[in-house]
Amino acid sequence: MASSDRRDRREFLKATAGAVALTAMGKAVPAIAQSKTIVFNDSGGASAEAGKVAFGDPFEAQTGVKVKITAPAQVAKLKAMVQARNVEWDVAELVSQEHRLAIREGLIQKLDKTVVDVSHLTPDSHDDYSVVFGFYSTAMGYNRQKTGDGKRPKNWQEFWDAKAFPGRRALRNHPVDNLEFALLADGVPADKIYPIDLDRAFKSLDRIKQHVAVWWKDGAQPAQMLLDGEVDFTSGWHGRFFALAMAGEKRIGVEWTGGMLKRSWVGVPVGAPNPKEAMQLIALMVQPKNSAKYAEGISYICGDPRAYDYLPDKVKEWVVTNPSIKSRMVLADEDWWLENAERAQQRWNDWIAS
Amino acid sequence: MAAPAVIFLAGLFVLPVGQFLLGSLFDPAFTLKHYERLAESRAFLVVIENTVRISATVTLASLLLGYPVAFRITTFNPRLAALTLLALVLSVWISLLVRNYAWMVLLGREGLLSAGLLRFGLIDQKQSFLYNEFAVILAMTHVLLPFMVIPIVAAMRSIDPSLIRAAEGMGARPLAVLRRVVFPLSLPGAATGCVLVFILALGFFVTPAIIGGRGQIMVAMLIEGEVNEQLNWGYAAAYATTLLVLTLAIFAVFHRRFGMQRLWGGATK
Amino acid sequence: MGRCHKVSHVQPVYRSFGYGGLSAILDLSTVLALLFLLAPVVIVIVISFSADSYLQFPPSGFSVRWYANFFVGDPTWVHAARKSFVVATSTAIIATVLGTLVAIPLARGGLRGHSMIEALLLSPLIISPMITAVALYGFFAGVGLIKSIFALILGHSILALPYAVMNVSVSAKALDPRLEQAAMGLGARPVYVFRRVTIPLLAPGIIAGAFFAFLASFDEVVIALFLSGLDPTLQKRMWDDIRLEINPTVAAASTVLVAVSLVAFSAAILLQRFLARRIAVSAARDDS
Repeated sequence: MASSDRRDRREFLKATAGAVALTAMGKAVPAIAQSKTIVFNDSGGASAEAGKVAFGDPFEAQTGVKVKITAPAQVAKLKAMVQARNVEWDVAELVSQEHRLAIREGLIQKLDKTVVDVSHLTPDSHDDYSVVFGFYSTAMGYNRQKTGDGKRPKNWQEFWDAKAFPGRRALRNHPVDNLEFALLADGVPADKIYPIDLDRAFKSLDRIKQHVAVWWKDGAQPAQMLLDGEVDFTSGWHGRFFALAMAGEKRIGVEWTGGMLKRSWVGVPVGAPNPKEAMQLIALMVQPKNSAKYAEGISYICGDPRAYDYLPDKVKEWVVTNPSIKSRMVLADEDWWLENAERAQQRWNDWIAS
Repeated sequence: MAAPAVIFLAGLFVLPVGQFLLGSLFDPAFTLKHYERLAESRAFLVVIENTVRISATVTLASLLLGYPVAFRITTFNPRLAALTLLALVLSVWISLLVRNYAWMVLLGREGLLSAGLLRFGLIDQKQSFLYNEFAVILAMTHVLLPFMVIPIVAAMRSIDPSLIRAAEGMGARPLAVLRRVVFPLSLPGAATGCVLVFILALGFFVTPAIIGGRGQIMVAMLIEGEVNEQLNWGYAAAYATTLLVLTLAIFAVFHRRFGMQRLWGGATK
Repeated sequence: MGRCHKVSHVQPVYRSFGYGGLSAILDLSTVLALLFLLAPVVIVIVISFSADSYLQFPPSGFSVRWYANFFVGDPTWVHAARKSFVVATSTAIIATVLGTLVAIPLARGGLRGHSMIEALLLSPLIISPMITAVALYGFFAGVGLIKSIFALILGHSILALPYAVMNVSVSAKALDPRLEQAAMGLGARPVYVFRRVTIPLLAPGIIAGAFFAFLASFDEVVIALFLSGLDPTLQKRMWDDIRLEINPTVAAASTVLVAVSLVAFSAAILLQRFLARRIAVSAARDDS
């Protein structure tokens, strides 16, 4: 009676203890066997995949240090980490004006220029704290199958004209880029956009509000919506369109006119666990060959003109440093957004909810 | 014996939440600026409206669908009842992301609903049912339906059989028994279900974030935006406090009338 | 205690309807409700076998490439699944232990601050998970634990605790105190009584509680968004993918999730049956 119960129970307890111990060991073993790993925080998705091939793997081959890529890029999280003195990232992607914010708030360290070679980079693609590793853009995407060339908007004025160019539209649920598009649609010349006249921009947005079927939030949405027919024209980060086009998806077309030319930067956070290796990784990211490889994955490239020459022709058609594309775009003013982002966001929130 | 759980919750839950919410008033010194800004914010008013409206609609939809289902379940034989209830309970644990992914497929322009309605001539071209109130209500009801059904079943099951027998013995017809005995006695269960569904709906984030449009922005989304994008913890805490006050107010009213023990799903006595 | 009666007493009322509008409505709504609840799961499972690389229903062809991507192609998925599993198991243990310890005195009644404790136990469910997530994020960041897996485990345990308590309560309320009194009357010490009488009798509730606690953690999204640290859980990975990618690997991951839930459920049921049989056997074998 009691003894057999006790035996059964002991067996059960032993088995459980064994299982728990195994699980714990299973987690410990990899930690012991691992070589050094640094963390690169990036926007994720296609960017992370391209980054692994272009930066992560070569870096590991060269230095033996593994690169772990995490997502998404959020300056808010960076600030929280730096303030708590508990920084998880060694290299942080900083998108557009967020990189200015990071510098102003003292969140990233000065670049080690002895390690990172900035001599070949164009002046608009580096500063004392960070380098551009990806020139990207917000451009207009459309579904080629549904709209022949004549029936699609070729600039933002036409996008705003729902009567002449019927079709379901999408825009991002965010003031960034939309304010500029609104002004372009209202006839403001590209060189007069900044400083942005908020009243004028929102009045222009009022005209398009009812015609926007979807206000997208996530990087993957624009392309997905074009493919499944949810919308016919949309703004979007062109790298996502590019990735699909390279994968053989012929239905997505991109209109570059009036697109916003933007920059994605990398820097080393203050208090990063492995600043030395972090600088080395950044140095690699602006090497022409590596940058070109990254561009082959997502069409975003660094500011070294030499990188452009390494690109296959079909990729050249998608890279925004291509002169024929760059000339049609508007360079986003990171300083204006640094000063006005909160005000614009507040106004946007009020506008979008009503 | 109850101490460990209490200490655990007090230290790791009440404390952090309290700390966070206090951040709306102390940033770091005492200030009313967040609440002042909240009071002036047009967006916030609209979002509160959205949140309450959507939660109320979901509650109503769950009630309309859930009440007959609950009744039917109580008339099943024990085995079938147990099986159905199990299916209901298990469906609670289908991840929100799995569900929303499915809705994106079903409700999109090229999706099943669109194709089906087209086939039956109810619409004349393919249409998208995503990113609007319909999608959000549908998806949230889908999640919260079991929370309506189970309390009603519990209440119906605890109706004293002798009451029914007495009514029948006095010559009441089945419909009358239903109307005058079963229905009134099931009302506390229905009330429990409604309160549960409403309160849970108020705090929703994932569903409106993924398949809602700009008219479906809910308070939890504002909190997330404020923390992740604006870095404004104090303002986020103001949003959170308002949501919490609303939730607790409803909960308090319910507790006064029915007692919170009813919320312990099914184990009512 | 008359549980069968509680079900069938309504039946005579219903049965005497025969056919007719009301019974048709009832049956229709029940079937509709069940279809409604199950349809999305079926859809996702179908999509997971789709040959298309984006969301299209019905799929143009079938393939297992997304499962290949999940299990082999992209190692981050399996890592995420493993992390979810570890977190959920730990959560189940913590929530069940704490939950059992509090459910017993709560069910017996007479506990000081009874309603306060009940309110406290309910609060993680009532408060929006977003508030809990953000508050915990701030809290753990402040104490420097944000990188550790414990932050997530503790966060999930908070959420899982009410479910554990609810399930153990059901068993605890049905527990006849005379059984324990009898054992003590025969000279057994309280600890022994607890171990050999109380816990085994509560076993079905404890197992159910552990099961729900496990699922509460495994399927949790919002807290995981904030406390996952560098390694995402399966839910966080799926969330990132839905936002950043568009291929149906998410569908394959979802199907795996559903499969895991079913396995956990079967394990819980089997364990309940096994223990019930063992208790019956040892009770039969008991001499005194």
